[in-house]
Amino acid sequence: MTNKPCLFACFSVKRRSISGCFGVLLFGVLLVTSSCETNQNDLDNWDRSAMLSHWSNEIIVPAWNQFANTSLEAVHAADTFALRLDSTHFEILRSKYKTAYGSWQKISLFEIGPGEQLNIRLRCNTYPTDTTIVKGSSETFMSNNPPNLLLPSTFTQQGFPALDYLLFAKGSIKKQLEYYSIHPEVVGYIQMLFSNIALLGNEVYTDWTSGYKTIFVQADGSSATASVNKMANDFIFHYEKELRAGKVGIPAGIFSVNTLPQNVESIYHPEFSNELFQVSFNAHVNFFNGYSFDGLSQGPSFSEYLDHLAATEDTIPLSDAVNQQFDETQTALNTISESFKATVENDVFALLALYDELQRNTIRIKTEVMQVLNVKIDYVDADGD
Amino acid sequence: MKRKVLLLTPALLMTLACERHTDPEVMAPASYSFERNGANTVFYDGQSERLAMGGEFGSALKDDSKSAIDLAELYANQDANGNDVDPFANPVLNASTKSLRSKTAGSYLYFSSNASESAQIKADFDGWIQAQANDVFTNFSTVAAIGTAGQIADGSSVRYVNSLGLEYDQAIIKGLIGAVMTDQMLNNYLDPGVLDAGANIVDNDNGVLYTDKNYTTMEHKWDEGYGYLFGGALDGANPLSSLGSDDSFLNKYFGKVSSDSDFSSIAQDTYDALKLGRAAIVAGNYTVRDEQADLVRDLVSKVIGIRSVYYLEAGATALDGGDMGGAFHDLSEGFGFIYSLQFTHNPNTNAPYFSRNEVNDMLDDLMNASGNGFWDVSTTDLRTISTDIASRFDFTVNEVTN
Repeated sequence: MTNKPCLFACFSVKRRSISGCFGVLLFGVLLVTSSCETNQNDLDNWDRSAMLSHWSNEIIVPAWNQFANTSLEAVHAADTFALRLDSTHFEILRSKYKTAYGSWQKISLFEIGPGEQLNIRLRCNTYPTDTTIVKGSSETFMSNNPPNLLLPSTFTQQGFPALDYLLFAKGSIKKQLEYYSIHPEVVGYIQMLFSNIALLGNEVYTDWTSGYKTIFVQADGSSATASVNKMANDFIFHYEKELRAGKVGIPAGIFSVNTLPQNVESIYHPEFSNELFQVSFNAHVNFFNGYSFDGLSQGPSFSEYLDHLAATEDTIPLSDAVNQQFDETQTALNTISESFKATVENDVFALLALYDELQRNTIRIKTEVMQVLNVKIDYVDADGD
Repeated sequence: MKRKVLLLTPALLMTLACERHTDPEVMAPASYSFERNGANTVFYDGQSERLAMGGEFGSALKDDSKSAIDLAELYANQDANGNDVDPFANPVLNASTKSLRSKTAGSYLYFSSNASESAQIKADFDGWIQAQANDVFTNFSTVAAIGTAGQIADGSSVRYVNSLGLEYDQAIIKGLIGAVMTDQMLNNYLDPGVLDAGANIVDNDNGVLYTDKNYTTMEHKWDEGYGYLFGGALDGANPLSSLGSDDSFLNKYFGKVSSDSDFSSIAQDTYDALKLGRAAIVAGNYTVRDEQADLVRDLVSKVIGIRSVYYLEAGATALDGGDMGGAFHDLSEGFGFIYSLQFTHNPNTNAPYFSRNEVNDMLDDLMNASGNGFWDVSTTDLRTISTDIASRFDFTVNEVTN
């Protein structure tokens, strides 16, 4: 368990490039003589435990804390609006909804553990929402007989996308208020949806602080179920499926014959979609580079881990290659001036260009980064049946 | 490589034929298109009908408004007492006397003198169909849990599983790929016992046609085998362009396997062998015919083996990642493909690659019946089964998963 795995790990990195070879070889010798004999868990001398502590203390738990708070504030706003039913409190509700949806984008990446148990991503952000069902369920809503939102078949009638429809589909504030006056049950349904989101957010936050964080940090090995391996998988999965495909590729028609503007996130309040994308994108970049949730400090990260392993791509560090590609992605995003919906309809090539930039890092992270980190991808693309 | 050999075959045969004056020359035509006196001789309407029945049956298995009797009638196209029923949306299928059930475990080679095993297999399907209606449909609005049937999320898809995590509809449809399509094709229509039955050889040699038809009986038997793979294609003579989208059975999974670069020629090779074999019947060369039949038997069997391994590995990977819904779906598909292994045909042994007993042992391990089914099945066990399956074929687990 000491020397051999170390050499093996080093050689597997060495394969990456000739230029990194000497450094890695040297490093391998160091490992053999020093760390490996003292630290049996750690094949490459990287302090996984410290990284997991940093992730959980400085990034993940604060993010969940913010989401629990903002979603609770949205509940209060919905409850107040239900009593007043006026434009002032409707505007506050919309604003609190947007704040909560924004903070959702910062935790969507961290479903690992308690969030996964609750299917929180599917429950909070499955889009497009099923407007026929949302309309039917909300207009006939009875608080003493609510639908069972635990059922996977109801995931398309709850969460932020359903609220997007219920808060924005009629257009102006005046029209929304008129609609609620004809269908007062809808307001009850809105309250229930917010309340469910806040309950889920609070449950995940509580689980993290009341025990899961310890489990997360202690699983500091390198097996398929170890935290670093799972987080690496969750990171690339979220980047590939949620950011690249969900927010961009699917509406841009990458996976279909026609473009699908109706599949844009925040479709009933389309100008918000760009901001949601930006927040989610930043969450990935910041996590990759180990920035704390408040942005004030930096700690151990995938980026540092790659540097520690002296991983390179061509002549530059692999971490730099990833970050340069993040920059390219931001540049492509900056060229999009209209909402994603309008962009799909009027200038889909701008969105396709953004997709291409996202795709480049998807491939780089999924293959090169994962190989260097010696993490096996734990998901396969669904084969569509 | 393989195709080169095939192309050489006619030349070789010609030399042999010239020297020995026995086996007539066989030329592979450009497409699966054969004529006599200027008229088409290729027909497999019965197979196309059964594939269409399978399509409607598959949809009904996901429709909780259906009763156990509804489902059983879609499977058997008659009621429990053998009376005619009209269970299909498509009137052509209602008018048909054919059914999936009557061709389940019904091949000449494997089951003509093994009625008891055939009955056991039909009973397996009957049981799953009943359970789908009685155990799963009744829990359609329940969240699945250990020991409780109901819904589970697989990404944005909803899966409906039994109390052990198994989707019966997957077990049934994927099981039918073996029990009907594969068994009928490999062990019935491509079997010399069927092709050469009665006066078939003499009739075929002398161009004696089936009553009121433009084909000899032997030609037609071969075409019926062809129809179980390509009978859903719009252009049946050139079916590879729509490969994968012509049914939810063999064709679909030939498409999936062909999209793996390790097996990219498998559909073309199978098509070519069926085409050459049919040409051999026209030419009266039964040696070439049987060589092609063996090739098809091997390739179709391999597809079943590859998909069994694929879903076991995908299920294990999903379980490692904590994705229970995704894993259950993969393992349910895997269940059906493993079940189908008992209908494969190894040309070297003239028997399935895995016997019914071996299949049942693997399914017991897969279903983890002493535990809580898929909820706590061991991924080590899954990977062991997968390795065992691959080792009996000429492919590796790595070729399937990479």
